[in-house]
Amino acid sequence: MDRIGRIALWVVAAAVLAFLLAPAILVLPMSLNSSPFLVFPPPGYTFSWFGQFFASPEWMAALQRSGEVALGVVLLSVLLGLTAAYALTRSRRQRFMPLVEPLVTLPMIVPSLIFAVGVYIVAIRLHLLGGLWIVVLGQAVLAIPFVLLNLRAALQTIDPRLEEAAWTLGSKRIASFVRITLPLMVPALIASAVLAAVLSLDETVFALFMTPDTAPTLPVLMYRNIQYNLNPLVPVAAAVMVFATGLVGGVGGFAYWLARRRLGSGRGSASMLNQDLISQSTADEVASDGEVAGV
Amino acid sequence: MASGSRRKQRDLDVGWLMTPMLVLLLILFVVPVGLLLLRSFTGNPGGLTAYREFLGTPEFVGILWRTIYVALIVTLISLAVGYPYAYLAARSSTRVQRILIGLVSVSLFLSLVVRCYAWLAILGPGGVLNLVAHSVGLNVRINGVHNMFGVLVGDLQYTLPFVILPIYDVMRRVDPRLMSAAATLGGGPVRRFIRVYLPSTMPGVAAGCLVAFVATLGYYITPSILGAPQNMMIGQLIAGLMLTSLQWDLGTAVASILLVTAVAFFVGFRRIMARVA
Repeated sequence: MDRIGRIALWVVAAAVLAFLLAPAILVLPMSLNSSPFLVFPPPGYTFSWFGQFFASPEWMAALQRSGEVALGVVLLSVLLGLTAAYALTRSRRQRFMPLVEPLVTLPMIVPSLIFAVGVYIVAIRLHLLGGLWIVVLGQAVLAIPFVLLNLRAALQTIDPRLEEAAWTLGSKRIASFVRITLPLMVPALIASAVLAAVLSLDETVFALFMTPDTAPTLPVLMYRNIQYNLNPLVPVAAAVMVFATGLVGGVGGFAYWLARRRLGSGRGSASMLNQDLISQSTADEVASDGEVAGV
Repeated sequence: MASGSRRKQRDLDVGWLMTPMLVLLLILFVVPVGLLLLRSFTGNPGGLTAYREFLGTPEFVGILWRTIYVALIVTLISLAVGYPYAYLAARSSTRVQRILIGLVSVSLFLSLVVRCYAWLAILGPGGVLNLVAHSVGLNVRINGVHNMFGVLVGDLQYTLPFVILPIYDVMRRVDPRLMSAAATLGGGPVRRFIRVYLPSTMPGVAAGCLVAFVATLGYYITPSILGAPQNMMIGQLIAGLMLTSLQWDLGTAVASILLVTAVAFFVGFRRIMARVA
């Protein structure tokens, strides 16, 4: 019984993994497909679509826009998430904290489409559409809850008395934060940045509403192309996206590993990054009774 | 004097550091979503007209029901498949655990538009599935996209990691002594699993199902790539009304209905979970 059970579990696991990873594995052969149509197996392989992609001003501009937006989202969400997490864990005045919890939970439970429609009707009225900055702000709103949970979890493991000891030794408050707490938070900051970047690179719904047809981000341009005509450059864009997120994850994972090693906590590894991402990104905080911002 | 400034430093509360984030969330999230709700009542002719139009059109109501139905099915399948996966991962050695969970997390890194596109290539008429069917000698033409099946596959792919990861996270923390205690008290394996293990993993199940359900309810990229117009989901309806046909009165009303549905399920679900726990 036990053995049969185990085999059954492994069959399920293999099926799940095949199901989840098959699309990723297929992207590369599809992007090299010599036929402009979606045929499998490809009649031949060619790099010419890649050449066309990188020579196309439209696709390159979209790629650049996505990169700029992702950078903005990372900076904004990590900065605001960090200040908020610090206030949550170190403030002694907890009066307004009950207000924080629903505010932070909402972006996670309200479908991003609703959020996009709401901002859309306001932005049209106020003539705010067309700039990338509104995409940055909106995606930062979507990223902040996850970044905040991650950074708050990190701050909770750092003893506040370390900073207090520095104050009694005459160090200024900001200086003691920058020199003592911040270095201890580097792994969590990296994990947050990776999370925010990946979220931004993937985000389509909000960007779809906010960007005009002439200035889409990469996923939006891909989506529009899939919708209206099957452009052979779409699979190339898909391969580029996979590469870009892989790069973010890889560089982030390496930086995380370095940071953990420098902190001397021993088993720093990319899979610890995984653990960190999991333990904060799981919304068990959402479901468990109002734990999100409760300290 | 030095001690005075130190005291000031200590008394200065850092609560104000919360302000930038709160301001951003208020201005960019709470206010627009509030205005969206308001807009659904203040169009022309306003009042409940748009809601009446929605409820009076069987096609629209059908779309709402279909969306809820698909979200429930996707959630249940994700749970049925994700729970054993998480269980296997949690009971494996550290190394296997890392591989199993690492691969699931990796799939989260893949852009959803990319994944939907890949499913077109797998399930479509010229796709891998047909190739496999033909090579096995099946002379059928499978079309797995632009229908409900395609939507289910795309949504499942989206929700599975969100179900697996929180369940795994909770399973990892189940005290093994709990299970051996149950065993010493004479519970059989099935009984032990149902009476002890399952309840203690419920928080993860709840979190995963909630995220999966709400995500499927509102996400409309998947159905619009992999589904068919006649199987429209509510997200497509909203986007179409807002962006294409520019019927904002109706669009904001349908969006408000979706918002209320999502929040109602969230609150109701949490109530039930609180009672179970």
